[in-house]
Amino acid sequence: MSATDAPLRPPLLRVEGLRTGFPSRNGMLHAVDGVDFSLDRGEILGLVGESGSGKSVTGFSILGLVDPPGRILGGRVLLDDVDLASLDEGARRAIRGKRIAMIFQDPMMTLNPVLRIDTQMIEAVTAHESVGTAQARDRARAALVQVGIAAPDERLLAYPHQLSGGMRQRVAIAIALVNRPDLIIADEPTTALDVTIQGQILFEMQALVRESGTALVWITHDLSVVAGLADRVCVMYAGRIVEAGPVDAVMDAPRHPYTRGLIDSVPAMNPRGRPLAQIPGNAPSPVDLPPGCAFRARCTRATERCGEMPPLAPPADEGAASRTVRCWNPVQLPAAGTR
Amino acid sequence: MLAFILRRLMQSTGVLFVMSLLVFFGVYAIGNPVDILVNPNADQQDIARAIAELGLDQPLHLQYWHFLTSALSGDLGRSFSTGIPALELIFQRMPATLELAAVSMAIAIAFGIPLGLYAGLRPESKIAKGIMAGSILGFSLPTFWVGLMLIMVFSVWLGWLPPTGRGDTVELFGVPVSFLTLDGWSHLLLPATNLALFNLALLIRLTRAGTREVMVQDYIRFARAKGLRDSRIIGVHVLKNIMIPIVTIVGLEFGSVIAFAVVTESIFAWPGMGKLLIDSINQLDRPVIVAYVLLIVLMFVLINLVVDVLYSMLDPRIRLADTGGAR
Repeated sequence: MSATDAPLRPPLLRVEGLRTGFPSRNGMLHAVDGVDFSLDRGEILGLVGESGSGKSVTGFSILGLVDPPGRILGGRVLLDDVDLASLDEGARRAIRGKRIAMIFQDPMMTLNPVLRIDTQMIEAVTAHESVGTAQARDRARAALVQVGIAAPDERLLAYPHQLSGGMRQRVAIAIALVNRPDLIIADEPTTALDVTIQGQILFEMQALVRESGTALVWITHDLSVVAGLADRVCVMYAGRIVEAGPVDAVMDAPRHPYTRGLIDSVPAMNPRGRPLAQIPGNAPSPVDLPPGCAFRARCTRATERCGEMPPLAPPADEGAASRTVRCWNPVQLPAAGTR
Repeated sequence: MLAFILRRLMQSTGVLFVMSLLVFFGVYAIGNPVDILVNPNADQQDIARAIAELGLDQPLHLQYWHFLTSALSGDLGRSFSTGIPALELIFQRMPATLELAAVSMAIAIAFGIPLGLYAGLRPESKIAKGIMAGSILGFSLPTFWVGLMLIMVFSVWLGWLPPTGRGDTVELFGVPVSFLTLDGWSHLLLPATNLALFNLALLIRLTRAGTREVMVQDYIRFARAKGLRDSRIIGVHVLKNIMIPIVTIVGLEFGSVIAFAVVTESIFAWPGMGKLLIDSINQLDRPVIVAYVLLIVLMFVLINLVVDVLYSMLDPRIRLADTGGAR
């Protein structure tokens, strides 16, 4: 789909060389260090990485919601070719919740405990459009129905503590959907939920964005979620994207050793009876990253050349330009007989 | 809710009973009021008559029993020194104290919450640091000294405001009040400010702490992500969440401002209850002391009740007992 649209119109979202840092006692901490990706309308992108890889900060940077003293140090975020950094705070506020909405990880914490659901939904509408309360309420109710909440009128009058975790996350999703945004950034929205609820919400989310043509950035540490949901996937490590491409290609034949390790670490992929596969070592501290590839110290394929930062480029032995990898010694394609 | 209120009021009668017991016997232990009340030149016969008149010749437990039975019919006894019913004495002085306390709390709230909010939202700014430094002064400077300084600056040097008294009063529902006349306000301003300083500092710190705590919550970030204006985020999302500790402190402090405005009332010669209490203690005027303390206890009980009811209105997660569970 993206292949035919791409030449005709610019992508919905382009992130170019995004760098976000948090000043600390030991100098600037580069949480996101040069991230590039783009996203077409209606496309679902999975942003995968361990905690601390910078995936959530990337999401918050797109919305301009990095907690001070953290700030965006460089790069551009373009929404329909408009650089968000060039807009004033008022214009950025008008985009948040209207064109780009966000869903957070912990549904227990995202809704204000002392305000009723209707208050929190109606204000999301009236912040962007001058509609009457009654009309905004109707839209809120419709959004609740859309995310599959039974008895929406009753729920509108409830307080967050009267709803279950799954229900609260549905409400948060309804709030994100209520203004029909072009893009939703979902920051691990199912991580805190039961597996059954997780499955339901994933399925519904997918149907909702397909139906409304909303693009979706799904931030997660869980590769199995991305495999079933996303069109494309970006794998992040230590603030950089190390591998990006169509989800099937990346999942079936990862080229970056880190992606390979990540896939092998999923217990379900482990052959029965063998010790669980794991990536040796720990994620490096973002304060003093060694020069060159950040994964070098944990990598079995590292060579001397890895002291130099590899570019994010299509692997030399692969024709398809849709996939890129940041590695000098990419994992062989399965034909070459990797396990 | 009604059951909750009723049960609270019933519990409070127990508190009142214990307090009356403590104060009654406590004052007895301090000294003999007759020594103070009777003319030093009086002979043995006069003293004996005075003791009998005041009912002090009876055993202490009988005196207490007598006090208790008449208290149940609303009579808390007559002042030893003036012979006026104790309650009447207190009620004469009460409006002045209530007015002073209310105005001082209003000042503390009107300045404390906005200043605290500002300091909480911009904790690194110079103004915020100035506010916090000022609030430390508000805590630590002794009330009597600040009162004297206020009089010195505004009454003696500048001559803007009168140092003592209540000024012109107007009857409101049969109660004399100062805050309806300009002269009354000019008299109110200094003592009310003096009394407000501590609570102003307290509210600043409380509001700031609450604001800083709430601002980093996910729901504030989510409110931002919804594209809400700052005014709405601060005015609704933040303020409603920090109101609970503020309401608690305002309630408690309002009670103590009424009960213990003694120092300020003495400095500014404000004719309130605090002055009455000091005089009564000096004269060991037991009926007045006991009546005063019981009244204050009752007031605290009522204020706490109001605070509890306000909680349940501010935070839907709090349900008053006896109303059945939520969920």
